Order: sequence, then structure tokens, then C-alpha cells
Amino acid sequence: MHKYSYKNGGVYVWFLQRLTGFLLLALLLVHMLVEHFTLGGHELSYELVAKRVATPLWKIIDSLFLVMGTFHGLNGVWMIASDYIKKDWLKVTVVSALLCLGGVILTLGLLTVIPFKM
Amino acid sequence: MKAILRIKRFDPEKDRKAYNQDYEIDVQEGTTILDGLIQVRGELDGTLAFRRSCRSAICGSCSMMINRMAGLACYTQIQELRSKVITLEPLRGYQVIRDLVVDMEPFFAKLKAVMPYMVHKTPTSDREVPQSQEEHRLLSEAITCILCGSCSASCPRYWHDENYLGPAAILKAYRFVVDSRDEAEEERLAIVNDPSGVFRCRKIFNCVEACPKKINPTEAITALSRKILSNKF
Amino acid sequence: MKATKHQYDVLVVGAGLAGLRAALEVAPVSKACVLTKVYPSRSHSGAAQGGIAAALGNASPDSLEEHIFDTVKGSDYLGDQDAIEILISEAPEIIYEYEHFGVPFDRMADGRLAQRPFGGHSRPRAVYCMDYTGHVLLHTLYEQCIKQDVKFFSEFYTMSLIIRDGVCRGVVAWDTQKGGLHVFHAKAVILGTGGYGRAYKITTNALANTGDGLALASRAGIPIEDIEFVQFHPTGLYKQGILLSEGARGEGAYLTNNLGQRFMEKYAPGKMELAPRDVISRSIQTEVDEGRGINGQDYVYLDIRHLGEQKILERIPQIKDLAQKYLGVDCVTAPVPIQPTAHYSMGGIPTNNDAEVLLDGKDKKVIGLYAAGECACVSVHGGNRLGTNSLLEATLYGRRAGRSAVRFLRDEVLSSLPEDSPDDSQKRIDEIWSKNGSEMPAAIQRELQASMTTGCGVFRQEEGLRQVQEKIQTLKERYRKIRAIDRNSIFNLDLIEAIELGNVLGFAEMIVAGALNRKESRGAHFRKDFPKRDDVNWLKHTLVYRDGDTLRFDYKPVRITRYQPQERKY
Repeated sequence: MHKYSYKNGGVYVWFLQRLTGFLLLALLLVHMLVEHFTLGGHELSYELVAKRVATPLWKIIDSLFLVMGTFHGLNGVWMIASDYIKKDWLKVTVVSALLCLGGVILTLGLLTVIPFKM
Repeated sequence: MKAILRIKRFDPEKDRKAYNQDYEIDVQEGTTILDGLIQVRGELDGTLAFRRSCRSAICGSCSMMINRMAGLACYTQIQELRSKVITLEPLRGYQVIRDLVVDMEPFFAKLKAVMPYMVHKTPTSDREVPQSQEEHRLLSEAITCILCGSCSASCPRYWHDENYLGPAAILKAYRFVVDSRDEAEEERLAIVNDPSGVFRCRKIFNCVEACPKKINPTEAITALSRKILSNKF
Repeated sequence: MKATKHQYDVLVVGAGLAGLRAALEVAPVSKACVLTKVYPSRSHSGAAQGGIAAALGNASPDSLEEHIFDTVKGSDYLGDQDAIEILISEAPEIIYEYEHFGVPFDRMADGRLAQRPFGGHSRPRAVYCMDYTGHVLLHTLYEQCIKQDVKFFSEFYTMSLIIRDGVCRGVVAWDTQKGGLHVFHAKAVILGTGGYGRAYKITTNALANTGDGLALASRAGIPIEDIEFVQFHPTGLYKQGILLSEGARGEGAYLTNNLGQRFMEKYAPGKMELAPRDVISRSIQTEVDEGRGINGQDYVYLDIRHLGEQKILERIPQIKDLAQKYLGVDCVTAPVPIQPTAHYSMGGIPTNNDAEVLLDGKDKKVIGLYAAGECACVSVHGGNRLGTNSLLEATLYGRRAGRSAVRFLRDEVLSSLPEDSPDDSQKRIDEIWSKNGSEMPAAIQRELQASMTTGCGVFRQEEGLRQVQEKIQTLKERYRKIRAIDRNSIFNLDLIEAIELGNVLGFAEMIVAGALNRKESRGAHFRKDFPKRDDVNWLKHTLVYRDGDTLRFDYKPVRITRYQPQERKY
């Protein structure tokens, strides 16, 4: 006999995916504006970028970008993958792999962003 | 006129694998797939197993994959398919019991999970609970669901996510959530808000296309998601 | 093969309105289960369309007396009036109970339940939900059963009743899905197995309506009451027989012949298209027989064009869909071809007003056995049932059966199962499986249905009935030589259909014998050679017993309380 039980809380991941999508779009706009339209006639150079990225505000912005991008991207991949994966063991494997990948991306990314100095 | 029914056969007592078998049948204007299947059973092959009862699209027994689309055999006319060879397979996403007969237990178990019954918390009088015609109209589509399972069989989420409630069960929850007389909206929303509930739906509208009663389950799913969202945020 | 054993307090056989309503009564207070040969939501109660009757007086003033009288008159005075009084008096309560269970009945502007006119009723008293009334009632009862956590054995085919010394001790059933016999031992058994329309070629009945309950009872030595009374619904889809609700005429539809006349003027000027079903079916058949069918064929038109698309979509959407799908006719712009179609069995297993099955049809009970709904005959419908009274009867007497069983349980100990191999079910299966003849069951079924439709239909007469009787005898011979191809246990449709065919042949024989025997015309039973009602000789119920291959008749008087028989005119 099959028994299914369902519990509250499915909305959160769904909502986060939409929220991060929206915020990523906003951040991307900011990024484009800052990077390509506010250079005041200067060529884009390492010094210019490095100077900006080393400020605390930009460290926060870039960290957010990283965290949201990772979540949104990997969750998206999982959503698509889960349309096709039926076997339980494969589900567990894929989710673990995506989590590991996310961990690596976040660690490497944050290690680069946070301690960055000019 | 003649047509060929290419039926996916599987008998667990004999076969190790499913195979296709062709049957040539007579077709007249108005002959349905079900008429064809009855012809096969009566004249060509008495071992063919399928479910059937009302033959007028109200009992929901004869749902199957017809040319890869889920639908009712009694509600599909052979001529309207415009194909010489018609493939008939058991509903997708369900365990096959034999030939075109599938195990409906998970489908009904999911239905049972959504509190599919009217809940009155305040005592009712011995007369009817009043309801306006506008309130009643909100129900008129959802209550025609015959639980044939065609919607779920056409849903990729249902095929792959064993826990996914599926369009039919969610539609049943919706039917009570929008009923002005019911008083268990919160509990029911909490159930369909499961990770395998309404937010699993990909809005690909396959269920809408499959439904023989022309119900729109996707709309019901979306309406419930909106309700949950507006309650939470 | 060894049978699996189960033990319950109450078994309900059949999961239509009667069975499910009975289950709701017994499940909360005892260990109960429901056996059904399909799934609960697939029972044929769901195909009822037009409505369920109760004198609520919402749409116009109404009274219980008027409803009682309409029903008695509709039954052509063959209905038992005390049973009818119970049915009508408790009807409003049943409707409100349904409403509280969650049935989405249509409403009036002030929020009360809407009611529409129906054939044979003098007031609009059919409570309805579009033309899906049976469907929503069935699904609502199923929902309530889920709430009460009722145990279902779906796709279990009941093969026989275990009755010893006048006490019913359970049933034997075949598990269609897995194969194998199961013995269900119980204190009480409630039958709600439906009717016997499958004896006819043109019928509204589902393929599953093979009168299995009647076969169970008559094999156990219980007589069948009034079996010759088969209702023909006037408006079945041409050639298909699929039901087009009387609700359409309740909303104002016309019936027209090839001259474009509303021919009911001639037959029932007072009620026109809202005369009772037997009257209208005969009128249609007369028009057809006298050459006024459309294009000289065997059908007339149901015309609903004047209702307008909006009303059709709002009130009778299913009819529109069925006509479009099965005949390619858009009822908004064209009239729909219809013909009379076998619809309802007034006869059945005799019960008293508490739904207890009667071993001699009169007052000797079978202890622990109950029946309700179409398979039973209380009799509230007598010679002809009024539309919308059947959903009411199934629910109400289903509930009464449940309550009687609960009362019975209070002081009953479980009778032991008979020791001697209790049952011949395995033998019957082996026998079918050993058949290696050349006869195809489907062909026998087809010939039987064609013969019944021509010889034992709306109009009957001796010669035609004799021909059907002979036909059935040859078909029974051929049935002994059928070929059973499928020997597997899992979902063996071949086996079930072979058993069902045996049942259908059995009660078709009874219908014809009953029709031959009753030398008068009353309600749905019309003998061209005896066109008058004969209250002197035939104001009585028929009881048919089966002793092996022969049938034996007995009779019992009609219970008349308030209304003495008078001429029936509409």
C-alpha cells in the first residue's frame, strides 16, 4: 500500500529561484553600467577594476553576486535534471555532485573576493 | 474501412518484455478506440486486457496512451486520429499490471493525501449552507474531473518525480480551496506547498491538452501557488 | 488454488451510491470493507445526469404529499406505498446531508438549492449540478469514504454469497488484479451491485452493469421481484444508447418527428415532454413504428436549440459534449437524433423497508443480508420509476441498509464459516477454463442483446417474447460450449466476461419469462396483446425463483396505504 505524506515549505526554494533571478538581473545592470558606461573616457584596465573591487562595498556586492549566481545556476540545473531523472540513487548522486560543485565555486570565489587587496 | 491497432502487450506471467502486436479492425464513422478494443477482444484475441466501463467519458476507466497522447479510449474516435496505424500503450508514469492495465494505487493514494473532502469547522444548520451563484461558478469546471489519470500520465514531472502530487490531486485540492463552504484552506494549502506539490509544476500545459473533460489543471495549480505566495510574503 | 481468508464485521458489495452510503454508516462503528469490481469513482451511479428529487419547495411551492402521489402514479400503482412514503419523507434530509458532505449543487440567486422540472413530477423538484448530478454525488460519497478511511477492495469480483441455514456469512470474490479467490467472512453483507441493462443492445448502462447481484441472490435461492419491469429512457443517443438527460427536457427541450411536430401533444397533452419515461418511450416508438421517424428511420429529434448556447453550456454541458463527440451534432444549431434506450431495472432482490433481503420475497428474512439501490426492489418504483427518484432511493435505502446492519451487529456474534468446502466458485472457474468449444462469448452476448431489444423492448407481445425465449435457450446451449482462451490469473478479462455473460443470460431469461407471464400492461411493461392494466388479476408483484434450469413464479400483494389505483393519464 502506498502512503504519501506532504508537508509545508515547497514555496521557499521556488520563491528564492525567482528572487535571485530578479536580483541577478538588477546586479547585472549595475555591473554593466559601472563597468562600461562610467569610465569617463578611460580604457578599462586592471588597475581601475582592482581599485574598485578592493572597496568593502564592492566586496559585499560581488559576494552577493557570487552566492546568488551559484544558487540560481545550480538550482536551475537541478530543476531541469530532475525532469529526467527517475532513479533515487541517481537523484542523490546528482544533488550531491551539484552541492559539491556549489561548495567549490563558493569557496574559491569568496577566497578571491573577500581578501582581495590592491 | 480498416485500421490497425498497434497494442503494447505485456503479460507478467508469460513475457519478460513488452512487445507490440498489430490487430486489423473494421472502422466505421463514429467507431471509437474502445469499440476497436472490444472488437479485438471479441473477435481476434480474448487475452487482451484493458479497463472499460461506461463508454461515455464519465467513469474514467479506459485512459491509455493513444498515439503517445494520454486520453480516453471511449472518447477518441479512430477517424479523427487520421492515422492508419494507431499505437495504444498503457498510461505513462504508472506501473503496468498487464497489457493496457496499470496500477492506479499511487494515483489514488496521492488523491487521498490532499484532504479531498469538505471540512466544516463551524457546525452546519439542518438546511443548506448558502452559496451564491458566482461562488458556485468557481467550482463548475473542477468538479467535472473523472479521475481518469490522463493528466498525470502526460506530465513529465509525474513520470519522474515519484512524489509529485500531479495535476488531478492538486485539482481536487483546488476544488475545495475555492469552495466558499469549505473551512480547511490553510491545511490544504500546507499540503500542496510540499516540495513535491504545486511548485513542482513546470507549466507546460500537457495536462490541459490531455484532459478529456477540457479542464485546465495548470490554471488550478497556478491559482494555488499564488494563494500560497500571497499568504507567505 | 488456496483461497485467502478475511474477516470483517460488514461487507459492502458494490461502490455506487447505495454501497458507498451504506459504507459511511457502518465504517465508523465496525470493521467494514467495500468490494467493487471496478474502482469506487468508476461506478455507474456517476453516469446519472439530471438530478435528485426532494420536495424542498425552493423553485415553487411543493409538498411531500404531491411528491408521494407523483411517485405512486408514476409507478402505475405497483409501488409499495409505505416504502414510497419513507423515501419521499426522508428525501429533504438526504439532500441537505449531501450538501453538507460537499456536493456542489447549483444555486438560486438567493443562495438556496436550485430545482428543475422533471418527467412525471408535478413540481420542479430535481436538485442538480449541471448535468453531472450523479457524478458529483458519487465523487462526494467517495470523498467522505476517504475521510472515514473506509477500506476498499477495488477490482474484486464477487462470485457468490455464502448462505447457510438462512444466515449470510460472507462472500467469495475473485481478485481481478492479482488473480486468486478470497473468502470474506462477515456478520453482515450489504449488496449494492446495480442493475441489469446489459441484456440490451441499446442501453445507457455501462459495460460493467451485468446484474451480478441478481445472479448472486438467485443462485442462493432468493427470488427476484418484478424483473419484467425494465425502464426505457426516451432519449438515448441514436445507435449508441448513451444517456442524454431528461434534464434537457426539464430545461425545456422538445421532441419532434419527421413532420417537425411536437408529437407528445397527442400522447400526453398535459405534460408534453415532461410525461414519465414509459409514456414518452412508447410515444417515440409509436411514431417510429408509424413511419414518422426522421427520414423514416428509427429515431426522432431532441431539439434544444431554442434554449440558446449560454443556457446549454451552463445547465447541460455534458449533453452538448456527448452529442458533439458521438454523433458530430452541435445541439446549439441542430436537433439531436435520439431513440429509447434500456436504462433502469425497477425489479431486483426483494427487501423490506429496512433493506433486509427477503428469502421468500415476503417476510422471511435472510439473516445478515441487505440490499439497496438498483439491485434491490423495495419496491418504491413499481412499474415505472420517475427520473431523479433513483439517486434518492440508492442513497436513502443505502443508508437504511447500513443502519440496519449496525443494529444487527450490536447483538450478533460471528456465525462460523461452514466447514464443508463452502463454495463452488473455484469449480466454476475451473469449468470455464476447461471449456474448449468454438463459441465466442462476444457473439453470444451480441445476439442476446439484439434479440432482447427487438423482442422484449418498449412494446412486447407473446409471439416476439416466445422467439426471444427460444433464442435464449439456444444461446444458453452455445454458452456451454464457449472457448476460454485466457488461462492466466492476472487481470483475466476473458474469465470475468465469461462469468458475466452467464449472469446476463440468466436474468435475460427471467425478464422474458416475467414479461410473458404478466398478461397486462403496466408502467414500463407494455403488452400489445394485453394493452390494458388489469388491477383485478395483476395488481401484485412477481417473484421469480431459479431452480437449476427452470424458473418458478410466486406473487405478493402491493402495499396500498393512501392512494387507490385509478386511471393513469398525463
